[in-house]
Amino acid sequence: MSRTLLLTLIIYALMLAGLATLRGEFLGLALPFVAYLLVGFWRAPEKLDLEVHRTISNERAAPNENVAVSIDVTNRGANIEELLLEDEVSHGLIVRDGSHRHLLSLKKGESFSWMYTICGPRGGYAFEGLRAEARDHFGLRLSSHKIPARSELFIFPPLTRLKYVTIRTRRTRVYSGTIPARVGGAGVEFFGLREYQPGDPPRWINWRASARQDETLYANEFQQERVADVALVLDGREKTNWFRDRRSLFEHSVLAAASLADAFLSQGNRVGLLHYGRYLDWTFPGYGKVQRERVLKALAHAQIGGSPVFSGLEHIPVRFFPAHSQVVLVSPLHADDLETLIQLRARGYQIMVISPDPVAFEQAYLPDEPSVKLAARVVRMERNLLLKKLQRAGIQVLDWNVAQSFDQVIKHRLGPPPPLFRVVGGRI
Amino acid sequence: MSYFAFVTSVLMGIGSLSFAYAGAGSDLVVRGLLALGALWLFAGKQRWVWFSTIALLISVSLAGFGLWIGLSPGWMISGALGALLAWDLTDFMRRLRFAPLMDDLRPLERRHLTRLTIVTVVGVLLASIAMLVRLEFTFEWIMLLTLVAVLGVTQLVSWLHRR
Repeated sequence: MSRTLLLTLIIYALMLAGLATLRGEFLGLALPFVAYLLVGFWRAPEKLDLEVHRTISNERAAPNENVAVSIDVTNRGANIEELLLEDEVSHGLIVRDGSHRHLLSLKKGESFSWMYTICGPRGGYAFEGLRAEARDHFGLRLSSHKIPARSELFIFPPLTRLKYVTIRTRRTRVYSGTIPARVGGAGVEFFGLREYQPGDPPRWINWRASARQDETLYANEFQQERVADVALVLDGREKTNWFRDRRSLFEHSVLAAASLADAFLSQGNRVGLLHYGRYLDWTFPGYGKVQRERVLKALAHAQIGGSPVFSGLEHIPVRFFPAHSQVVLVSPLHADDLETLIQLRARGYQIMVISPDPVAFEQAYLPDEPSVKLAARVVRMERNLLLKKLQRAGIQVLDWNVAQSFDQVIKHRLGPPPPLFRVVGGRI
Repeated sequence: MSYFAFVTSVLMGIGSLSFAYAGAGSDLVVRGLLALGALWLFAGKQRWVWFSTIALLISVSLAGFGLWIGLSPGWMISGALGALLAWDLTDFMRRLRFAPLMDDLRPLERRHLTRLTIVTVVGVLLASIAMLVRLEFTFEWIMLLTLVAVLGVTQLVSWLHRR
């Protein structure tokens, strides 16, 4: 019940009692309540006119990194006797130091500033505004407002810097990059011999081959290195990511996707990202630092989601990916995915699967019992069979035990080939 | 500071009513009042804000009943006023709990208690005047004055509400 209503009822009840009993003492008893009510209303807050300014120390932070939020509030209206200010902190963020809420009285023209520190897990967080509740001293009248002060905080996924990730696509773009294009021209690696043409640098002349022919000079040709289109597909399906006790491999998948995107973009490639979960979230392909920011923002928002439509990979929209481009799927994999991936490969895409190992992940949390070991062996065999089938279909598979660091695994499996292999023509 | 004021208010309200009823020999009511006071203090400690409203209604009802059976109006007003102050302070303490520990709430508490003191003094003065001034009116005049008072209070409250 409203406090004002309660007091009003008491006052009227006492007045009516006075009337019914014809005794003035009841009116006297009502007078302190009347005085209380009138003083409360007399000092009731007027329309709030507050100016709010919020500053976030770092709008792009790492998970659990401290971020300082400063707020300045200036009262442009009348005096406020009791003002409760509360900065609406998004769900998921934790206030680590200070408070996002303050109770104070603010005179006309007076300012109040405070600071608090927050941290949180990966995500995109919006600060919509500041909630202000003004009351009179007796709390009879409440004037509540939400003062808009928009800010955004992105907590990007953790990133592992990868020096180099080897990919080989059938089709490259025209710009020079680091991916062998299977086309002769200027480059580093030997590609073949052709007849010397005017304008070729003299140091390209292959003297040994030229000596074998009369009056014909031969020049070395090098393999051109260009950039390529890379489509990263992050699997956010519930059925592949959730395990016992709500444990998930998804954060590892996000880390892998972020690190790969960073590496591919650093190599000059055109990178797009598809988050495949409850719905399709497609980050259009692009180059450079701006694209890196876009991809990281998309990854910051990525969550596991379940949908009957996207429970299988058959709805991957292949029209998003340029023909014969490199598709990198980051997924713990499910047995049902085999057919779709083989079909995708058959369409001419170069497919690489980075698969965080769900068997090793879950086994680490289970008791060390013979039955568990036996079950793990069976599941392990099934998974190995699935990976072998993928490899036989020409799909590059990287089985990643998340107990190992991602950069070590990448360095070992997808790092630059040693010089000896480079001469032979690539990694075996 | 506020909690101390709350305890004082409860003791004042319940003590005044109990003293008056004890004088009239109503031991059952006195025991009930003492139990209510103890419960009120316990509720204040437990932060049961809702209990304060019930206690206020009981206290005002008993003050009204006391006036009807002819108990001393001074004690009754003191009882009702104590209950009003305790009820107000319960809600004030609830609002203070929204504030973080680092906030200096003493100025806010001081201002609140000052305003409450002013209201108490004004209320007691007005009530005392109303009790002391005894005029003989006919029933029709009392009816008219009461209606005027009710309408006046309603108009004043609605005007302040609009303002």
